[in-house]
Amino acid sequence: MATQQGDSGTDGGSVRRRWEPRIERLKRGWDRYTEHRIGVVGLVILVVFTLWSIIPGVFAPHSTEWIAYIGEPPIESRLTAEQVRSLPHPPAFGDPFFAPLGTNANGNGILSLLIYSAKNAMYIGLAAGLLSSLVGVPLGLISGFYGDTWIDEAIQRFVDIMYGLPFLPFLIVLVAIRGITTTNIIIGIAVTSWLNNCITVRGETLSLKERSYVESAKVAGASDTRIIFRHIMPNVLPISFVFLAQDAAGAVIAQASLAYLGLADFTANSWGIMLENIKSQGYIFDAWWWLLPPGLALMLMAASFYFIGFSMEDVTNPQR
Amino acid sequence: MDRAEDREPLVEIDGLRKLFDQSQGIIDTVLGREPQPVRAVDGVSLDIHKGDIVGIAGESGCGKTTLGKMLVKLHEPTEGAIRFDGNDITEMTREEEREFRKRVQMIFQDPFESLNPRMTVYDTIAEPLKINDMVGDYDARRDRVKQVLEDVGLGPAEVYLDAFPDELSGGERQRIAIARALVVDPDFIVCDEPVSMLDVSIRAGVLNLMKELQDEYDLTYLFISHDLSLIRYMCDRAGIMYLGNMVEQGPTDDIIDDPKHPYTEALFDAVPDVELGEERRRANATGEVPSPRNPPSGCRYHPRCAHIIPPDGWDGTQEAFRRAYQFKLKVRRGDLSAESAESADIADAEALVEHGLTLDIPEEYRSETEIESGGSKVDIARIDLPPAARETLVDAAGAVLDGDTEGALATLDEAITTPCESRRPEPQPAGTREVACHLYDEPGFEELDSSTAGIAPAAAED
Repeated sequence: MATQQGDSGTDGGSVRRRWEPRIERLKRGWDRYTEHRIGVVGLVILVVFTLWSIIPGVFAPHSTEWIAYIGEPPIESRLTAEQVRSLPHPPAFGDPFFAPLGTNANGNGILSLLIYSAKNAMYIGLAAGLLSSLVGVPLGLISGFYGDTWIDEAIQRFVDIMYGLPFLPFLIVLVAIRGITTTNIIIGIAVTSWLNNCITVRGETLSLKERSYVESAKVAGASDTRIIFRHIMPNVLPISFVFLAQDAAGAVIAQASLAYLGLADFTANSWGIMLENIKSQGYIFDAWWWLLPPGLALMLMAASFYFIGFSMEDVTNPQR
Repeated sequence: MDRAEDREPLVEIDGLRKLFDQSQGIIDTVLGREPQPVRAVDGVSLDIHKGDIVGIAGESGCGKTTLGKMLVKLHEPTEGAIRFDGNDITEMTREEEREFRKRVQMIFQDPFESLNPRMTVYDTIAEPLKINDMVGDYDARRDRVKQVLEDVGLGPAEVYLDAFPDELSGGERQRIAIARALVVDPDFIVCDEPVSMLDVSIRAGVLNLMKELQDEYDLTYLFISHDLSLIRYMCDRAGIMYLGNMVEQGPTDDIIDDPKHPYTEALFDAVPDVELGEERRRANATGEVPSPRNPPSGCRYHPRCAHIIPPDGWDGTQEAFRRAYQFKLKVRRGDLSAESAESADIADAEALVEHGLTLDIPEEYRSETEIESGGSKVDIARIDLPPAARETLVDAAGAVLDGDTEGALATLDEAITTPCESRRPEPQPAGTREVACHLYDEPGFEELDSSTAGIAPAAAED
């Protein structure tokens, strides 16, 4: 419990006393988060991927344009036939060049590609997750709070129709109409993934609005907006955070599967495209150093989102 | 005399009715089914005078909480009017409603549910002040909150202000719920079972606190509880509810010392007595509470009533009529049928009548044969049934054994009737209180069984 500090009446003091319990709460939340090692592992992985996507140059040994034997652009010479035959080259540490995870068939370093692709995956994961939360949570709140009215009915029937959309065919059509860009893929993923969010939040809201603290707020004269934002939303945010993490993981994987099917922006670097390339160039059984890293990276990113979601559930929904 | 008479009522409830679930699904509409709403509160009238503590008692599901929630405008009444200080609360302007919200508060049953787990004690208590723009700045609000916290016995307030509900005990939480209700300095508080979720050891403390606060804040309480001893301790006046109806209301002491309505009597008998050596009386009522979706016709209590009124021409005892009426109800409910007779090894109609005339009541009210047979059989010769009625029963039992339940019911409906079933009792003044029971309709029921004979019928005003 926070203790009284500073003189009452001074502005700084009152603001400080106001926020103290919340800061205290955050600290307690962090303690609960770290109770599970899995959450910490997820957080560490995510921090690494975040750093990769913000400052890839620090981690990657070369740029994405780097070519084995020749080096960084500008590229003036050409590979000899013998050199081309040695590609994709297995991991090499300085002799004849430095590529810790080997190269692909074009001579690009796998580790560099992997690190530079993290940005794309993070972008897609967070954008799709946030977008689907931004659509799903408010709609779920409204639908639940006005449960059993035409508003709820309309939203839920719309959700039902959207559930009827098959995910991949829908994305293929969307991308075929609007063109293969990362933005379109994010929109396509968000359009289909907000549904779970909406339905879960609605269910939670339906139960929360019957709590007597909501009723006592009503008795005190609170408006609908106040009840939704002060009393219901803080209590559904934890769940929606879990869904945000899951949606993000789902989106990264969905984008990779689209890329594998050839439905991705090929000018971008992405783990899915790396996998698609190894398939189309026929090295799946020969170049393990090319095949495994992007798959593992995808797995780790999805896992980190899930781990964080798992631990967040403990923070936000303490059981004792 | 009733000291409430000469004061202005603060709250007047008039013919209040609340039906839930009136809407139907599409399938019901297509099939043309009638909606069957839950009749939570069905025609309740009550005056609450300033400074009183009025108790509402009744079994769970009798509509007492719904009544309380309508008084604070959490539910809109389907029908009827509630006047607070002379203004109808169902037709308030926005401005009037703001004023009303400051004057009326509610304390809820479960202190573990009634405080938002994500708000500090300060935020919870200050919320009504913020909503109603009552105290200007943060520090003034904080001072007001501290003062209320100390009033409800949570001092020093500093310790509690920044705590979250999950750090507090049930008693502390309920005190905070009380503080939240008090912070706007209201006139009227609805308390919905305020101590039923608390440990017995801290109940008295909370109740005494509520009594003290009544003086300090000049409050009027509506106290909803299923616990009659609590009503007796707290309340000046009490109302007893059964299936959405107010069956009896008046000064608490009068109701407790001399219950007039058969339901009130049964309710008080159901309270365990702690006095040693005294034989405990148990409730003389049959069966379960019926569904409020499809309540019994006439008097809601008649299927369970010990003092059900026989028809005019009945020359047997009231007890015999009660048994005969229960027989009819059992046939109607399907408790007595050809199959059930078979499984109980009953072959002829006479035996089925003897089986069907039993009453499912505590032992002290049972007949000797019932006790001997464990409640499965009653000696028909010892029951003072009129011969005609007896014949009807045997006929009906015969029809039941033949599988013709509808025929049996038709026969029974003709012969075994009661005014309780056909007419709805209006609240009648009876002594110091109002009772809704046909026993008090008109004089001339002295021939009823001995336990009702002592009750002087009220003047007929029907």
